[in-house]
Amino acid sequence: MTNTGAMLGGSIAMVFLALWTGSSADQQPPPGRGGGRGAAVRQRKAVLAWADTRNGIAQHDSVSHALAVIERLGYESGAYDTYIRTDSNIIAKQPLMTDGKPASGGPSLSNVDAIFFLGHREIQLDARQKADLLSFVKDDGKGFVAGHTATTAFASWPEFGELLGARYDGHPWNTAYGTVINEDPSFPATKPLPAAFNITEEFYQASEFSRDKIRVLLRLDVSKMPPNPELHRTDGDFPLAWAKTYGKGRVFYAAFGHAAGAWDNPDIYRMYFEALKWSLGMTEGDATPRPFTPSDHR
Amino acid sequence: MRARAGIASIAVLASVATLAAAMQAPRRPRVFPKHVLAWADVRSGYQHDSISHAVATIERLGRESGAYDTVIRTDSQLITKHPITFPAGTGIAAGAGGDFNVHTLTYFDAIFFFGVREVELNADQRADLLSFVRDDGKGFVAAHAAATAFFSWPEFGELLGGRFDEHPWNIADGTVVVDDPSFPAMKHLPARWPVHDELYQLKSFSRDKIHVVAHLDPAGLDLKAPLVHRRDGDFPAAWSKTYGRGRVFYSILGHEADDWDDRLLQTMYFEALRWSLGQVD
Repeated sequence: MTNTGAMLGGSIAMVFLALWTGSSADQQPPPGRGGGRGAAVRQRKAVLAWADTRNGIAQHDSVSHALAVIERLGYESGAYDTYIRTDSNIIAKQPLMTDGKPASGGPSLSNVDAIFFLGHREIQLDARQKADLLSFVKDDGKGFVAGHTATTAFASWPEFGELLGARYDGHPWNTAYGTVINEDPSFPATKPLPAAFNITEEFYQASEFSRDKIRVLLRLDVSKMPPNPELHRTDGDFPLAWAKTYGKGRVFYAAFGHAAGAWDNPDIYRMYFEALKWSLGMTEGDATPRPFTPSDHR
Repeated sequence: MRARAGIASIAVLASVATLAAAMQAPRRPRVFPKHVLAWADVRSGYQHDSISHAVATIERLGRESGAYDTVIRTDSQLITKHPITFPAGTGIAAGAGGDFNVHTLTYFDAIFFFGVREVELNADQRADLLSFVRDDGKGFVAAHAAATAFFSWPEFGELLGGRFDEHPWNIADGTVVVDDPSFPAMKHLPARWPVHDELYQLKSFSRDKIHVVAHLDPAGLDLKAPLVHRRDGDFPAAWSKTYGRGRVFYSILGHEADDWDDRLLQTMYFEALRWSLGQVD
């Protein structure tokens, strides 16, 4: 059993290595961690993979696998180190321990370069934490990459909607097979994807978005889906992934990743990995908003 | 021949159709025989940089082998056997699936614990955690800083089998000597395993209650270092024990993130988990 695991691990590592060298041939892979020879000055970017799911009834079984995959992508490529947290104490520029004393070690909004967010619903943050989170992106120019349930988060907090770019409006077909249109094959996260592709996913419907504020990268081809009374827009605009800026920071959201297996799909994990690298400023991509043009990319 | 070719092409067509159907059908989630909670509540103490890589590695080992799936949590919400309730308006509408995927200790088969210091648990949670191992016969595998946890809670010391007593040599070279090569988590190791880790000294353990499966060779350690408290050279590196009906394993190893890339260390914790899950004896 462990031998199989080793072989799998090895082959996955090779795929990641190939991805890394292929996508940024100009960058040398950073040296390894030096065989545990003590703490060194941080050479790599740091990502906080934050998934506080304590306040929701629908806790996705995929979340832990997603966090582990995000960690592994950064670790094996050398692009970033990851702190995994499912609590929100660290959402602060000066985080506190449970007893109110300053935190010891670990991540904070002062020492990470991007957040990968997979939380949902009403996460408990106090006013200071909320201000710090917004400032982390807006003023400090840090990255914010969010997946799937992220649009369900903080419904009572308008500024979070501004940060993320949209809100959750159900998933009309539940988990279904559909065709995804790649509106921007030049953006780093969607560059590896074909002009159109088919995939099974719980397609989240976005609401309260404006194409004046987000650059849609992927959308669902609604014309190929069966009629559904929960589909609320009649113009066929159904964004599934977008990029935007929020102040000085870079923001990316994609609806993909409902099932744990989705995070084993190279099309999906590579998209999030490239989005993280873009949000970290390691690659460039155009997040300028563009209007909806239904005839494009069919 | 013709008929055969016809049959062959029908077979090909059929398999293409099957493939298309398989692609269109929602992928069935994989089913894992056991469920592990990787619990690393680090909100009340020093967070080792290695912890996220450790829990991600534990997750990957279970998933790739098929032995177990893992829920990773750095909070302690799931340390309960009681139903978890949510403040009004915070949860997703309970649809056909009801309160799906809200797991508690009744769902998990083992805990992989990498928490530190005084983790906040209320009295009910503490009772449920002990009962999870003692009465339900579930597994408890703990790594490195776990021995610093819950100093104010005597029963946790009983569960784990020992307590942290400084790391007098800090991060240092050492040799792990395997005492029980027949134990599942030790089988793959050489008799003498050179390690480079933050070597913990342990206290409050009794060899009447724990089965030391590996120890640090005291010959390679500076026994005059200021914080060395053991005068008899007894420095366990890993042990197994039972707590009621449950199986418990602890090792001092795993301070640095890349320690978790060591196949020997990975296999030790993975096999310890499988043993704690009753998958091996």
